Amino acid sequence: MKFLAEIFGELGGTLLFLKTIMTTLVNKKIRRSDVFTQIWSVIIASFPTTAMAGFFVGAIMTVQFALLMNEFGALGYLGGLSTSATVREIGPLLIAFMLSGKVGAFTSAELGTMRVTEQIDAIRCLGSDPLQEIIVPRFIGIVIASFFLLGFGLIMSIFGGMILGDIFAGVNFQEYLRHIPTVVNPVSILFGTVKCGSFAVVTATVSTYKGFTTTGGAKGVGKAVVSTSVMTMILIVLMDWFTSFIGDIVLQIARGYRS
Amino acid sequence: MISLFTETFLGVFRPPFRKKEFFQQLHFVANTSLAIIVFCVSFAAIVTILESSFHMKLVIQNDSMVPGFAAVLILRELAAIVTALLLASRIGAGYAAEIGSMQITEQIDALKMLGIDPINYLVVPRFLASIAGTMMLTVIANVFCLLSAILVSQLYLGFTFGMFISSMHRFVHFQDIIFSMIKGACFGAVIPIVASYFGFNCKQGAEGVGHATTNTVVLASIGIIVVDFILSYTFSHIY
Amino acid sequence: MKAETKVGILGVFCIVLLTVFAYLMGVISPFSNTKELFVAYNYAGGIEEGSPVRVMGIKVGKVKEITFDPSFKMPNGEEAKLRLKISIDKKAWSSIRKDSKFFINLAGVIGEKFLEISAGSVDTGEFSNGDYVRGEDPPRIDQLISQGYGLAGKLLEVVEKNKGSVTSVITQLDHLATNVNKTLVLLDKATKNREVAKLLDNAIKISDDLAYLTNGMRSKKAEETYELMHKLLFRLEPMDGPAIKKFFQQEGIKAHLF
Repeated sequence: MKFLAEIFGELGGTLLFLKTIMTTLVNKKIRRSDVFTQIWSVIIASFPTTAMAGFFVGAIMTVQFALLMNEFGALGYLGGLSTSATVREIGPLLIAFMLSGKVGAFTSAELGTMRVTEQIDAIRCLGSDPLQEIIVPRFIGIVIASFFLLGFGLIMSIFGGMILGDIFAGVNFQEYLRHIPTVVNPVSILFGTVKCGSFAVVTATVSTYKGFTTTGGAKGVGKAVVSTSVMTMILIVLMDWFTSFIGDIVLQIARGYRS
Repeated sequence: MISLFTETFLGVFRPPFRKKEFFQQLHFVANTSLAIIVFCVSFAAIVTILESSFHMKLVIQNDSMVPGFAAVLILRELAAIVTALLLASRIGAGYAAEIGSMQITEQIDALKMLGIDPINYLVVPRFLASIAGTMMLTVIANVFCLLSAILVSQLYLGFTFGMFISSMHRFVHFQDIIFSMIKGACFGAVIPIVASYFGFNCKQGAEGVGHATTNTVVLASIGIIVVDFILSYTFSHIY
Repeated sequence: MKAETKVGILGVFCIVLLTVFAYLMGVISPFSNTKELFVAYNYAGGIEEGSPVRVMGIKVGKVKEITFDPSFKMPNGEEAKLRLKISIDKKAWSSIRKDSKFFINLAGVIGEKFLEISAGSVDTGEFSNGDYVRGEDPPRIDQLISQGYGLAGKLLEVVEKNKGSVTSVITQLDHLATNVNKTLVLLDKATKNREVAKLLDNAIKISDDLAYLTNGMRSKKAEETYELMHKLLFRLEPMDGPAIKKFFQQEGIKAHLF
């Protein structure tokens, strides 16, 4: 019971924090240069990670799909299928995992350190709002940067899939690329983008919340980082299911109206 | 990091064996993560079923093969890698923070002063516990993933339990779960090595601990994906 | 609770789950009591170890083992070099009889191969565990196709070789057709001849006579006769062959007596 109450407390706290961020975002003026700095630093920090992970995930998907497609003798569809799976599902999920590991943990560690060394209190003492000065630029930065990273990651994963398709399954580059547009449609891409955006919002909210409410020295910072990464992972998986579910319903409604 | 790995690996065979520590760590790795992993993996299975049904309908206008396909994907990739990534953020970050704060409060130097090898005392039990724990969790995750996949396919797509199982028979073999366990063990080995490497090299101050944990999560995740690729490629010649 | 105990419980749980998985995959099956049969084939198109065995379309077992045995002969002396060991669930065992047939069949999207056993009739006996049976070799589609190819090739060859004669046959046929055409035209003209007119006259007379005859048949007496015949046939109908035979024999005897 106590455990449940704790979970709901965490969830409620995070949601309230998101609400505060949103009101700040709407009501107060955000310095534009801050936001751009944040976007840039997030992209720089996670670009190699995302690229590498994307490459290998594309490769893994291709190997697995090649094994399955071989049973049907439909190796031609390999490129289309593995790209579609990556665009719709694996890509956003992976980018979100990497983002939560790299940027989420980093942000909460940074904010936690600020909190523990009383820099945040100092900002408040100087008469400016720490939410406006620190949190909101980071929040926007993470969300916007995630889309760029999604693009990079997807391109890398297609690249990895192409190379492995050639080495492992004997599907040459043209064949691999030719089938991509037949399977991947704009709705899939929109789907992937929406997913990525929702994961980024989750990551940004949780990491800033956890960092902002850190207590208790260096050990507290470590604790905040651990709980950030665990919580983002769980929430990301949940959001993944949720967006799939909602997307399905929306698609069905759209089809129903059209026909 | 490689030297740390070899030292740890050699340390496994070197007495003293710290049984109590090992069991405590195993409890931390396995039992406390169990609920989270089962929860996450079940949701991942739901998404997999829905997505693979979508793709099947797209390509061959028929979703009768979905259970087999989804079961193969779950057993070969999904369960093991989701478990490992979750553990990387939970266990890896936890170890890095723990060892890192020990490092900056000079507890590790104190251990050395007392003549206790910190690798033997700290890393080896964690290493073994992580391997054993990840293996066990992978099996549990596999089975729960399949169970929730069965449930979902029953609700959304109308496959009964028997249909799911017989469709699975066509694609899945018993070796798959063994391979998945091997994968789990390898991932389990990656996590504590990365974590303790960053923990030992932690810089002073609160920022140092934060950096160590961040780097651990990232590097462990990438390491897991790379190891997964290598293992998938190797196993694909055995299937 | 101690940490060790919890870990132990988890480990046991894990092993239990593994066992359950193995049971579901059919690697170990402690509860099912299966019986085994050996089925011999000369060709078993694409069947593998682990392929399902179905009786009347329901899965009841699987192929356990495939062995090559070049010197094996059936009791009646027929050679059958491939031996499949199949396991069959006990609940289906009693529907497989000595006259059941063992086919190899295709099913599903990707053409999964399975071994189909037709249900035998109740009169014949059951198999006992570990019997040897001769299976029905499936038709080899590849062979059929290759034979078809051969046939087509030979046809082509024949046509190519006798190109001249074939064309001459065709031209002759053409000539024949034109000749027939000419004859028909001549005949058409010939109808104007007198003899034909005579023939037609005769024909009209004959038909008149016929009409007179049939008129007689249409009298009342004849109708009564028809009715009687009809009734008789109606009564005869339900009787089966032997009874009719008997009846006629008796009648015949009576006829002789009188």
